[in-house]
Amino acid sequence: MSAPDPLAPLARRDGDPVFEEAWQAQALGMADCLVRAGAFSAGDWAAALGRAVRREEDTTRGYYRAVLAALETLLDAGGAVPAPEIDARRDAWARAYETTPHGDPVVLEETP
Amino acid sequence: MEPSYDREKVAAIHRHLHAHLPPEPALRVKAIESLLVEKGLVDPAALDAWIEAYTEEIGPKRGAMVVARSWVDAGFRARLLDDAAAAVAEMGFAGQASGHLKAVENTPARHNLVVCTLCSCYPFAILGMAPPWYKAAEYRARAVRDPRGVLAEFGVTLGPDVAVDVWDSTAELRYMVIPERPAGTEGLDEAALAALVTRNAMIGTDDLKGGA
Repeated sequence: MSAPDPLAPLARRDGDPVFEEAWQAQALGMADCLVRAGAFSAGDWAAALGRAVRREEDTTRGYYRAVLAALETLLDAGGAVPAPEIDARRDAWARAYETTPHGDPVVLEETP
Repeated sequence: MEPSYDREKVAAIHRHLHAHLPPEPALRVKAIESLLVEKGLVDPAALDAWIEAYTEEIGPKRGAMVVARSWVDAGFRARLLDDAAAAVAEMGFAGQASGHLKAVENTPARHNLVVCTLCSCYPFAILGMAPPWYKAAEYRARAVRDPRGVLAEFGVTLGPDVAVDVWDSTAELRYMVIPERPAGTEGLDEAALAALVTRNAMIGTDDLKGGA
């Protein structure tokens, strides 16, 4: 029995953290919660994620960008959350971050 | 014309503000989350519980307990191989994402390796989150094309007389490997045995023989 090859491309990633940043866990968690709630099927999720990962770089960060892209695609396609609505909310959060003094909680302005 | 003081100041303020802005994907995730919660599509408490559970990586321990039970209880092992979802439910691990579980056993003549060639399907309710390499395009391709090469990379070298079965997990059917019980563990109880079972052993990239 030999030890894993430390230069081997797969084995050397063995100790990498599953999540590198909080948004990665949030994105995957939302997708799984939506599957459980029946917003879309596990099969549709796997198919959308499979398409998205092929468009991303082969890294943990790329994988979670694909998770986010697949999530946005399914929410838009199913009509649950249309893409323009996500874009508008993203801009609203960006404005909230930019205008909130450092140290204060970031809250969204009233949305119509 | 020289840049005015105001223009410099505006640029400085701009840089300052951008320093406070979360990275783009985090911003989009925040946008989606707030919309899903408002629309009642995601329960924030359920999402928080999910994140807490999977960032703590409680998962692999459940799988390890299942494997250890299969080593000491032949009846359980038979039920596990026959209907993994029901056997896992026996241990109190019923629920989401383990409903479509299939257990495959390693034997002296056969080694099993699990992959999801499409994306990253994985029985995470039992094994926790998949490791980053499991999601890598390289693993998804090579596990099928060259399983022995992948196994060697992880320190698992199989004799030519040992067959390798590669199982392609999907959203509908997710596989876990029941590794062989290591030699010299006859005196150990179930909890001590469970502590020997690694996540990789349940994917197939560890044979619990001290390599990986």
